[in-house]
Amino acid sequence: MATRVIVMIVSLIVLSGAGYASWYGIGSVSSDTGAGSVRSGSVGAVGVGRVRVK
Amino acid sequence: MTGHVSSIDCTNCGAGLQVLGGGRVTTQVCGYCGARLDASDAYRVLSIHAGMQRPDSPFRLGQTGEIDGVSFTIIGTLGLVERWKGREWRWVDHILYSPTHGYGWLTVEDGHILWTRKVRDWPTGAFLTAQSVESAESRPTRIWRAEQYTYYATSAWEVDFVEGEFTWRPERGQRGSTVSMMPSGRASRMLAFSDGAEREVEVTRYCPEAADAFGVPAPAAKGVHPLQPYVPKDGKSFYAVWFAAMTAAALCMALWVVATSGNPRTLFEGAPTDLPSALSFEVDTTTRPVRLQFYQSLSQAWAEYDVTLTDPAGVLLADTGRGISYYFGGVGEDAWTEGSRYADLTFAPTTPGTYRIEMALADGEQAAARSTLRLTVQDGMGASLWSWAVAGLFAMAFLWTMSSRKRHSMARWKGSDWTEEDD
Repeated sequence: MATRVIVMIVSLIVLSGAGYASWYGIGSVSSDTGAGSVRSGSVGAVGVGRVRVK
Repeated sequence: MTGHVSSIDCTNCGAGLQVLGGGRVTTQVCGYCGARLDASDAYRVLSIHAGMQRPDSPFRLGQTGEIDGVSFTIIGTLGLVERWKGREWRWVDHILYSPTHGYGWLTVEDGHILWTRKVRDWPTGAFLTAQSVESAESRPTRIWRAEQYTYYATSAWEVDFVEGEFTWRPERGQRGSTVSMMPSGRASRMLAFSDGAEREVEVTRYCPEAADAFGVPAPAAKGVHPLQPYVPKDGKSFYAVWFAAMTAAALCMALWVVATSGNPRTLFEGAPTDLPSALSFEVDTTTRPVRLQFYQSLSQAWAEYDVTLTDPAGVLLADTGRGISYYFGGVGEDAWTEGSRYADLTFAPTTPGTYRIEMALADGEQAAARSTLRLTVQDGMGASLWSWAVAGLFAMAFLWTMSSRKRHSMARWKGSDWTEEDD
């Protein structure tokens, strides 16, 4: 019975965490955005849909 | 103790030995000195196996217990070993005797207990030997008592320990082979073609209850035995329902996140050279990120854009760039593409209001200046990937739970030495 309770609690924690991260878009914000964002040099390569930091 | 019990003194070392095995016993091996005695000739010494190491088994000579409602007494013990390619498998056979039902075998193999009886009604077809298996082009089968048995494995065994009474003359180092077969369905019985001192066909079943019947502690079973019936673990139904529910909840969550994202709004569509010096868009809520997506219908070309984004208060949120490139080639299976016609910039809005984006073509091929560029904005963006991933995780847990019977069956047949050869 204890194992079942532990599995249920862990499952709910994982589900809640995923729900929170999904709803608030955790991890989806581009790394080169944010207040005070500044240019920090150039990688000099042709972009292929990825972030290019100049 | 049942049946007539008598005893003798070992004619080699003088130790007292019980005589329990009935009239068909021909050989008695002293457990103290290893002397093989001829039971049909005043127990004269045939040979002496000194220094034998007793194999691990909870059963001992003279113990009595009931199997299938019949009382049996353990009269002999054989330690057997199979060696192949540097590996070694050991098991213990105990010969049992009942005055009313004759002889049988109790085997302890990797902690699993098996019960074996000789059968007189042999299966249809020729006696299966290791040689006939070796030359067979397909996995051998036999019909026995209206059930089809499929080849499982061949065991080339060697006697490593011997003690007690036997109906033949076993000795250390004696070799033989056994070909075993099982029905392909649920675990039930194993049919064995034993080719040793004499040819016999035996049937074996899983018999864990023998430990209780003989009043010995049940040995710790290792792994899954080929004859071991499938027994669902406690809570299987609960876990299956729980993980199914968790999967459904995570899927609903992922769909909800997608469904509640704002609609994409087009800010600009046209040639990059027609881009205005600045574009603006409204953001109503700051709880979820906003995505700016760039699409350009490039073919064999690339372009790079400078992008500057400021919030309603004039705070710089991004001073960066985005590149778009798309190349392709080849035909059929050799077709390839590289790059993407899409790029995006996702940011966390700081305050509701009007955001401003400045965007200009910084570099690129000439074709890029003529290809249509589309810029869209979409607020209320979540990251449904988390929910999809967790749904996948719970789905795997569900499938793992539900596949326990199949996994058990695969584990039972894992030890089969039959391999289909590719022509």
